[in-house]
Order: sequence, then C-alpha cells, then structure tokens
Amino acid sequence: MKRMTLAIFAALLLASTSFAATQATGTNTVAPTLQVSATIQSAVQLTLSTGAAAGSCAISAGTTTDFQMNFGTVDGMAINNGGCGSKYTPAATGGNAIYYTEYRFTPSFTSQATSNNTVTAYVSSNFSLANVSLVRDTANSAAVPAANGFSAMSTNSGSPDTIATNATSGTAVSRYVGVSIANTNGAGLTGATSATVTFTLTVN
Amino acid sequence: MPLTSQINQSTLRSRKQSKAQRGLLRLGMMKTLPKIAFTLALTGWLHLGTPIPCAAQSATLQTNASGVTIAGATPYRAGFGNVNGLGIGTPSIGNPSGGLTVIATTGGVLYYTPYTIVLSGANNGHHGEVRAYVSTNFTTSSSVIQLRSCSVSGACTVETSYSTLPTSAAGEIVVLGSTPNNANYTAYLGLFVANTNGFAITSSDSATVTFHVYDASHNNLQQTLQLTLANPAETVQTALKMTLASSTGLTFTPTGSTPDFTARFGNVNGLGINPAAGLTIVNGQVANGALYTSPYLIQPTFSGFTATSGTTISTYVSTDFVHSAILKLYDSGSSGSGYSAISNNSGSPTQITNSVASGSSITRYLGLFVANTNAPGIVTGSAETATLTYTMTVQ
Repeated sequence: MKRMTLAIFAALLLASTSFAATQATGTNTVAPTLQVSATIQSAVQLTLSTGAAAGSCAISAGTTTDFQMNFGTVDGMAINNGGCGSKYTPAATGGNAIYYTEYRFTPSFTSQATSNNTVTAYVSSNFSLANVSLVRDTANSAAVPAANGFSAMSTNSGSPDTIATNATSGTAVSRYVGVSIANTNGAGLTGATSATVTFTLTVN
Repeated sequence: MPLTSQINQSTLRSRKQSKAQRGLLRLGMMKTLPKIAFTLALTGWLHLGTPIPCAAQSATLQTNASGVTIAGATPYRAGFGNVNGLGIGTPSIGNPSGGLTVIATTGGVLYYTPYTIVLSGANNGHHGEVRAYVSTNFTTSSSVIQLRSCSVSGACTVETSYSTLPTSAAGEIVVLGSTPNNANYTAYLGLFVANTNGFAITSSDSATVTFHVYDASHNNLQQTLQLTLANPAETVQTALKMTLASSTGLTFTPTGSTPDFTARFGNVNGLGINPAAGLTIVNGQVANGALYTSPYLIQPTFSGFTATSGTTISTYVSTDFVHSAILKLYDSGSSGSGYSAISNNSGSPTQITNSVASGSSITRYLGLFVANTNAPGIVTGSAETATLTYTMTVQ
C-alpha cells in the first residue's frame, strides 16, 4: 500500500512539472525560453572609394561592374584637364600623357584563421582604343606618384599586380590609378572608351 | 314518585325514539359516505398542495457520461473547481478533462459540462418543462465569473448558445423546453470566467442553481430542485501566459517543449554581408563587428490578479554561445538604436519593460552581434545556440 501511494504521488508530481514554461496558474511568474541559433561564417570584403585628396575622381556604384570611375575628356597632349584628378604632360613623363587620381580600397575579412592577405589588380577588360591604357602607381604607396612613377597595369589574370600586402582589415588604403594616352595618330583613336580592372583580396 | 314515574316513562319513550332516529341516520350516512370521503380528500389535497402522483411532472438530475459528477439528491452537488480566465492548466482550451471542456469566448473563457435531466410524469395533457436560475450567486463579482446555461437540444459546444442564468426566479430561463415525452435529456451548464484583473477573488466560492419543473400545459410549478456548485468549490486562479511571436523579421517558432521558442539567424559573419531575410544590419551600435537585428513580439496575458501595476518583463542569457567572444545577444526597444548587451546574470537580468498591459503585444528588437575577429583556430560553419530566459512577473 505504501508503494502504491508513493507511485500515485510521483505520477501527480510529474504531471504538474510537465507544465509548459509559457504559462502557469496560481502564481505570478512565468519564464519562457528562447533558443537563438546562428552559424558563423568566414567573410571577406573589398570595397573601393573615392580618394581623400581634393579633386579625386569619384568612385560610385557601377551598373555592369561593382564600381565605376570616369576621367572625362582626355587627350594625348594633356591639354584637357579631364573631369577629375590630375595629369602629367608628355613632357613631364617623357612619353605619354597621364591622367591619374587617388582612389581607396578597403579590405575587410573576419573569422579567418590568419590576417595575412594580399590585394591584387589586373585589367580584365581593356580599352577599345589602341592609344589608351591603364597605369598604376609603381610604388604601391599612398604618396602622390611622380611623373615617372607609373607602370602599366597587368592585363594577365594569371599574374596580376600586387597592390597591397597584409593590409589591415577594415582600414582604407590609398593608391593611384591613371590612364595613359599616347600622342600617336591614326584612325579610330578618339571617342569614349572604358576598361575594367578586377581587384582580388585573398586572406591566407 | 308519579312524577318521577312519568318522567321515567317519558324518558324511556324519548330514548326509544332517539334509537329509532339514530338508526335512520346511520342508514342515510351509509348512502352519502363516498361523497363525503371524496370531498374530504379533495379538500385535503387542495389544502396541502400535495400533487396527485399519477399526474405530477417531476425531474431528477444525473451525471452525464461526459460531464462532471452530480452527487446526491436535491440539493444536488457538483462543481467546476479551479478555473481561470485564460483557459490554461487542466482542463485547458482544446484539452477537456474531468468532464469539463474549455472554449475561448469574448472577454474570457467558458468552462462547460453536460448534465442529464430525467423527466417523468409528463403526458400530452401535462407537458413537462424545466426552468432554472441562480438562487445563490458566487461571492466573486459577476464581472469575473457567471453561470450560463445551454438548453436541451442546443449547440452547446459553441459559446454563443449559452445564456447567462438570471439571479432571480422571476427571470428564470428554460433549460428543458415543454415536452410530453418522459426521457433523459442532456443540457449544459457553463461557467464563464473573464480574463480580467482588478477584482477581489473569493477562494473556494460556490453558487446554487434552482431548477423548477413545471406542468407547462397549465403553467403550474410541480417541483423544485437545487444544484449546489460547491463540490468542488470554484476558485478563480491567477493565470499568466507569455509567448513570443514573429513580427516582420525573424521567424519565432513555438516548439511545444524546451526551449519554448526558437529563432534562427542562419549564416552570419562579422562583416554583416548578406543577412538572411528579415534581418537588418544596424551600424553604429557596436564596434568591431556586425549587429544583425530583427523585430519580434512579446505577448503577455494574465488574469485573476487583483493588482497588475508594476508588472515586469526581463530577460537574460541563461545559456551562452560556445564562442561567446564572437557572438553576443543585444536588446532594444527601437529598430535603429538603443541596443544593449543582454545580461548573462539571472540575478540582474536585462529589464525589457515595467509597464505591461495584458493582451497587448510588445514589439522588441533582438540583436545578434558578430565580432569581426580573425585568429588561429577560429571555428566556422557550425551552428551555435544560446538561450534567453524571459521572466514576466505580475505584481
């Protein structure tokens, strides 16, 4: 009989404690619980922005590309001022006219096992005009390049130009990019033209 | 002596005549005796109000197989026991128990039970009818509990079929409509419990329902029955309920077990890239990472409390993420600002509000901060969970 009484009591106790935590009677407190779940993923991000120097060419969101920039009207003698940035004349460079501007890129990465990283760039789609090409600052620095401080940007995806190494995540980096206009003559050397540069951030 | 003799003779004659007269009287009474007896019986019946057994309509109350137990004879005994205005506990809405079913109704819930009326003595010339009213009402205000009735043949699983039982005989309502058929009839007795607060509650309250059995053909009261609702007595218990629900953001899913609700942020990263549908990245609140946010609803309800001012809702992280340095939960009352880390201390939880109205949803914003940390051995790709424990206290 004692065993039976104990069994019945235990059953009643279980019934009362199985009550949902969202509701209660005969008391003034209730304590429901919420389980929040999330899965952390590693992430990388590389954005471009307008250079800090006054007159820098504006970088904005592109339509067919992520970003876009427009130097405006340029010429092989650097007579036009272009729409933005600065210029070096053929006399200054000893060769082509160069219209250039500061720009910024910001590499960001998270939940990576290392902070080692590189940022590369290459011309993935070149200008259609033979007398126009893309150049970058040879020194890969934030300093304004000298007239002879520009190099042609790689057009080879297999060997892009490294423009930054071990950049700090979330910190903008200044570099320079320009268009080189040869003072040559011939058919089909004028008019609007565009090129695409592909930047790559790799954290490893 | 002669005088005496005359007197005696005269007396003798007189006695003889009286004997003759008494004999005649006896014969006459023998003839009128049935009429006298009938007259006396009729007079006695009219005087005492005793029903003639073969013609009176009567009823008894019995337990219905699906209802609460009705014990004894008049006054019969039954009861609803512990009830509450939210219809939770046992029985609860959708979960009948002990002969009681609970359904939601405007302003509260209705507990109901079927019971059986056994009608006898009715015939074509004397239809039976049963009416009822509350002869002794609950002490607790009728704004909190009310006895209601659903008559025989009514759609008694629907609250609109119930009528409030009046508290005077003059207003008594029909429970069993006029019928010549003697049978067992099923009627329903309901107890409405309001989901209200601010009223004094009498524990172990009781009421009595009086049933009148009528000869409906002649509108004559034939019998009075009483049902005392004190076995078990009625106690309106405090009840409170708190649920979480989706708003325009994350889906909050009730589990029916522990934990009570889940909310999945899905894949997240310290840059806030590509938040899942319904999530918003709020900048400028927490440095060095991304804050994913979502609105959600806190739905508090409570009833049976005499006072509710100072009701509070709080929350704390009862189980943290494995990588608590990377994932952290935040709370705010507005979407774009005011986020603060949710306490990990049950003793000093994060206060959400100290002004709660029963039945009014509270829109709140849950934030998940993801640090933009890079380090060797960092774990990615595995779901992590944390548990928030909310507490609502009605004071």
